[in-house]
Amino acid sequence: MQKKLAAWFLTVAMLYTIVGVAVPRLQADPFWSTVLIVSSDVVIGLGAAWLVSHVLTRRLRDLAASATVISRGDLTRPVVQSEARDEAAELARSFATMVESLLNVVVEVRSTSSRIHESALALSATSEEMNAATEEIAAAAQAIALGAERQAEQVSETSAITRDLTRSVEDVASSAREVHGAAREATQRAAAGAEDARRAADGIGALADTIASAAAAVEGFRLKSEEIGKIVAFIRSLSQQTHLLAINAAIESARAGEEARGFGVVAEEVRRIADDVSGFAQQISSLSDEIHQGSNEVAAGIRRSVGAADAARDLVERASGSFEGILSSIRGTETRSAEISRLTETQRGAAEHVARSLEQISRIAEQNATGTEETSSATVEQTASMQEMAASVHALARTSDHLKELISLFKVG
Amino acid sequence: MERRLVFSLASGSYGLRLEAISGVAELSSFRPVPGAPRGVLGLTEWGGRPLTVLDLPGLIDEQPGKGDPSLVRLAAPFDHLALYVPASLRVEEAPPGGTLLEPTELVEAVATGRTRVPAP
Repeated sequence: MQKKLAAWFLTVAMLYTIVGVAVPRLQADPFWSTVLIVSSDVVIGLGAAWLVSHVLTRRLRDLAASATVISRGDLTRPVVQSEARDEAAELARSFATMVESLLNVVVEVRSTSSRIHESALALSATSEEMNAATEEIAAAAQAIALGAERQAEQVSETSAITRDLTRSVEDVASSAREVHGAAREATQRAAAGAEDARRAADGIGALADTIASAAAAVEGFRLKSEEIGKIVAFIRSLSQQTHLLAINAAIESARAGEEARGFGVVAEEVRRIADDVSGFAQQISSLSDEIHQGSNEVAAGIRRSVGAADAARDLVERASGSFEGILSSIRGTETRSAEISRLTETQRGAAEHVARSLEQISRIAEQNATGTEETSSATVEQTASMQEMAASVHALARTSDHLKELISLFKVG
Repeated sequence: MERRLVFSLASGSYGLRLEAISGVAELSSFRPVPGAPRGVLGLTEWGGRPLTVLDLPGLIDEQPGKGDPSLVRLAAPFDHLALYVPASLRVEEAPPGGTLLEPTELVEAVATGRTRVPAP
């Protein structure tokens, strides 16, 4: 096309040159020369223009007609092509190719539009289902968030309770340690008390033995005193008999009269001696009675002492036994208190571990609650997004419908 | 001077003439007699013979004195009687102020059942 135009322009230029050279030679008047030149140039130019446009626009008109047909949506009309090798032919061929490509594109677009429409419908249904599911998820997330929040609150409360429990366990552990210490001290004191009781029992036993020995000795004295009393009683009896015998002698002497007066005197002396003996026997008897009474009192006192010593020994032995029992119980208590102390220490450690675990759980629960809230919010946003997507899908479907409508304008066969 | 068997009871001293006595002895056991009159304590044995024991303090409204009790056997005609004397006996010359007891008064007291309170 450029070559043809160039040739046409050269031709026109040559004609202009020829006219410009020839007219002055043919017309001497400059005015009329100019008029002729101009008129010739105009004619030449118009003629050239008409030829060029006719030649150029003929194909362009064909292309325009094709374009008009295509603009009406008919892509089935073939484009007029030429075997020429100029730009117009090239343009026609390119236009035909374009129409063919456009046809393919329209077909493809129609097909794709249909698929898009179907996909849009399916996507719309799916988005509605997803929207419903998302709403359910949002509701569930909200419920989970509420539950997580309540869980976090409950875990926090439980953590606080566990902290109180831990403090209580620490107090119990401290008390158990104090009890263990007190039990240990009580054990030591009970052992010392048991030892003292045993020594006291031994001492009382020795004292009881000593008292028993003294009682035996006093009993011997009492028996001897009783023997003395018996002898004194015998002496007194003899004295009484002698006294009475002397009285009888005096009585017989009185009966016998004056001749028996000397006998009466002897009898009187005998009676006096008997009275003296009776008096001494009475003194001895009194002393013996006093000794006997004293011995009895001493013996009684010793017996009471022996009884008291025996009772004391029994008491001390029972006390010793009680001490042994107390010591055994206290040792058992010490062992159990040590076990309790160990167990409470273990419980304290476990309680602390539980408290820390609960605190971690509480933090995790709070994080879960926060995350669930965020999830819920994200779900809400997702729901909104889903709704927007559904709206977009609807818009896409409408757009696809519109596209189909637009594509339907094209006639592809 | 008359010699007497003297003894002291709760309220005073009393005596018996030696001639009215046949003997003295320690108080052994005596057997109470149911239904016996007042002043009779019971029966005892003296030298194989039964004697009636009279309660001397009861007959003269006295209380026992100090000393071992003795039996005082009366002389005839009351040698079947013996006096229960709860006091020490001694032989003394008749003390001024002592109360002399006569066996007849004592027997009369037993017979009448009335306490014989002898004159001092």
